Amino acid sequence: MSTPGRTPGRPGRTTGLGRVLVALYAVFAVAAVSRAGVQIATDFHEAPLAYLLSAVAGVVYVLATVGLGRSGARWRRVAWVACSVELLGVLTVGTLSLADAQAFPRSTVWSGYGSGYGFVPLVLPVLGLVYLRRESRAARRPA
Amino acid sequence: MSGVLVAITCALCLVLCGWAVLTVARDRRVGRALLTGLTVVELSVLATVVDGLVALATGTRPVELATSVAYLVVAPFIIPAGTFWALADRSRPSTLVLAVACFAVVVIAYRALLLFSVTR
Repeated sequence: MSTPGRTPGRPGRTTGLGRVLVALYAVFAVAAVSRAGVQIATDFHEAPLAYLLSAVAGVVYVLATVGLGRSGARWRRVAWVACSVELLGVLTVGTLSLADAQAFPRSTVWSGYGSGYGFVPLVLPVLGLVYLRRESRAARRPA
Repeated sequence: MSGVLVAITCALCLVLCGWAVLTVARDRRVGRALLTGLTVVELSVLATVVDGLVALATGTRPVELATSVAYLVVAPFIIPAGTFWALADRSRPSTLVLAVACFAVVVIAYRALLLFSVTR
């Protein structure tokens, strides 16, 4: 019970804290995808770059959610890529949105390093990468 | 949209959020009492959503109409999905998923109230 990550009997299944992480990712996936959907459907012409970024962020969150939630090496790889892209995205967009506010007239989840969302978008990819690292180490360790 | 209903929903969610955290802290599993609490929260969420839909039907037009509708559509699914995801893995920390779900509902209900108060 005390080891979050993997249960001995069901290797590869997401358990424990991993499931909390997936839940957090799911919330952000739904939020980002809906937000992008609304923005693109209602006033795409106003800030195409920001809105496209919202859509990209949404797709990345969905991939991270599924990648972390499913078992198997392929999904782990998807999760690795998604979390890395996400970290890169939140750092890049966060910096750009502060340095050049004109480029981002409308905010995205990643603007201001996710300050509109309690900085969770900044913390989430770090937690995701830490979890994946711990998991891959646990998998390599002989049982 | 009724502020009182939103307040009740948020209060219930915060109680359940704390309850879930306590359950993890005390190393207990999810019991019938907690599930009943979740059902009460879900009913409260449904009442709030119906209230929002009635407001829309009777002529309330939030400035951000699409976003408001999206909140109403998503809200009822959070608690059931969180409960399913938490119970499918009966490990100690997975109960925290319930806390995440409850907190998400608090944010959604509060944001929906704000959106509905800015009308044209």
